[in-house]
Amino acid sequence: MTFLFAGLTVGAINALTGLGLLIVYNVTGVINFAQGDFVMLGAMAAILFAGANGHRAGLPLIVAVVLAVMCVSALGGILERTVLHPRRKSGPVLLLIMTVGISLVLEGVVLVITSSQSYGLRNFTPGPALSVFGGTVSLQSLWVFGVTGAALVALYLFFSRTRVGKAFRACEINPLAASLVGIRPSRYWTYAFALAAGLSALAGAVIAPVTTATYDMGLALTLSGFVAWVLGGLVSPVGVVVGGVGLGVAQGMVNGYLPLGLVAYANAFPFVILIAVLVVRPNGIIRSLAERRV
Amino acid sequence: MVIVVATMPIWLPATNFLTLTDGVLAGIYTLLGLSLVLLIGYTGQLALTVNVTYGLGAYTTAILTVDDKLNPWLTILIGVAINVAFALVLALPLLRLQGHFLAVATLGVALIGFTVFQAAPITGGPNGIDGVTPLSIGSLQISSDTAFAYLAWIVALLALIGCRNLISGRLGRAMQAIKGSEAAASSVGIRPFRVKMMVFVLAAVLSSVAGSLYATYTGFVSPDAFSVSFTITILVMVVVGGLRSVWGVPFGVFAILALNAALQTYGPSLIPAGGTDIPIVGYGVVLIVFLMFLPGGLASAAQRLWRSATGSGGPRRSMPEIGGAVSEESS
Repeated sequence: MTFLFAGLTVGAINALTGLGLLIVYNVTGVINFAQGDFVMLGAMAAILFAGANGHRAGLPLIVAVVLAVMCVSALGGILERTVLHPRRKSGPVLLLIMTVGISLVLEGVVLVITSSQSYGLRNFTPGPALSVFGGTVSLQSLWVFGVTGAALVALYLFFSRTRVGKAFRACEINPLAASLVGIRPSRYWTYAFALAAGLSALAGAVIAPVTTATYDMGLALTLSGFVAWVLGGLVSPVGVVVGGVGLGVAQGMVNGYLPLGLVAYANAFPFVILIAVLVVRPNGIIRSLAERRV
Repeated sequence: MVIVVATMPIWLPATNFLTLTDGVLAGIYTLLGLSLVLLIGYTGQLALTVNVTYGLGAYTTAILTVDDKLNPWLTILIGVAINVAFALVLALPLLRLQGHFLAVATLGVALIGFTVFQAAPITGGPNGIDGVTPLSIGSLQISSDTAFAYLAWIVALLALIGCRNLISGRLGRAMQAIKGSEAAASSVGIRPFRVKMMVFVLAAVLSSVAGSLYATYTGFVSPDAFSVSFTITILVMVVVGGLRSVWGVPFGVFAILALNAALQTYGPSLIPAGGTDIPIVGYGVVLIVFLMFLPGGLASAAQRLWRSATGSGGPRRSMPEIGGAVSEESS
């Protein structure tokens, strides 16, 4: 049971990262290899504003988290404007390599600042872990579940109820038609990057007390998010969430129950699934459950 | 080019900047860069498994010379054979994936490979394998930097010339046709899957030889040398040299090695807090700047300079194999 809760916590982060990838890809056709680095930046920024665990106390946590999300979101938008936007006609492969460059720069800058130390953040609410159904679950994990759930509901309302959200979907479905009714698809490239970066930063901020933050956590997160996305069938946000949580639970079980001799290989597990799914069911496993796009 | 290589032991240390070790590594990295140029630049397959095939070659040589006392030359061939088999097995499912899905899947392979290098009992785990037998010709051992620089660069030059010929030959034209459009290529009788498979295997062979050379040169193999970021480093070198330029590869390799040395030397005095971690930022910046402003790499810059110097206008696409044509792919 404890492993299940740990898996669900990881799964929530996978889901948020995967959603970021999905939003960017649906609007721009770019696979953003820096997505996981935005999670890392969100964690680092929250720690910077709130004060590292055991160090000086900074801003109140809620302020720090909101500030971190806003800063990273703005950074995502700015990076898109300055780096990708001028070359957006270059084709997906070149743009993908450019996001690899962005990822290198982000990781490098954080590495220079933190010199490869890992930092923790204090729990959102102090207190001992709870016992539920015979397993233990930390209060921070409950925060992760709550924040992820709230973010998903907010996203759903945003895409289905607001004008900007509907314009987003218009850009995904048909950029040309969207531009005919007064929506500028190219502007939504920037919005998509900003939104996805903010979402990832939120994930980073809530997970920071659990996992701590290091400069190089991004790549694995990007790939886990990608597994979630692929599992979920590439177009459906519901699928991504199910895929992300499912992957997280599977990871938790693998970490918990793998025979000792194979523990060293546990890191490779999500990628084995990734390749298996890409090869066997490129349209995703959960597609039939959720046919709708964002 | 031959003269440049022949005098390398003299001019390279004279720069006071790069050492002869960099020269040897440059030869090895040129082989790896060529594999990426063939895959990405000419065939349009963003396959990022270089660290795995390189590592397979290196570990094959290390394990077979240390544990089984085999002749290191023989282990290069065995490494190539293993890599060919590995590439064929991998290619069957993976090369059916398109564009960036191939990139993500191969990146997954790269991470799995790295994990296995770290975890498998046969690779010595994180400690690696020490005491790899150096290469020797007759009784003459190739262990000095100078001797090894010559060896590495003879292999690299052969590979450069081989790739050059390959590109202008039948297979090379088929590769570029596939990059343009697989459907169009198959309509003129090219079998895209077969061609992609051949390129994939060829790339694995190049990096396998590079890996074996690396193992015998350093005498020591550990997983750190075969991480995913190593693949990215080679990718940066290739982008700088020109993704669609065979001869650009060694220039890109030397440019990045020089940048690395410069940042190691002057970086800490510029940004004291960063210490020796600065190169990774430098790589990212270089990658972005080149892709934004010079997507054809140094090769296209040189070509443009040459054209304006000689005044030979001509159509811009007179040499389609070099230049900024990467940006034209629209698929």
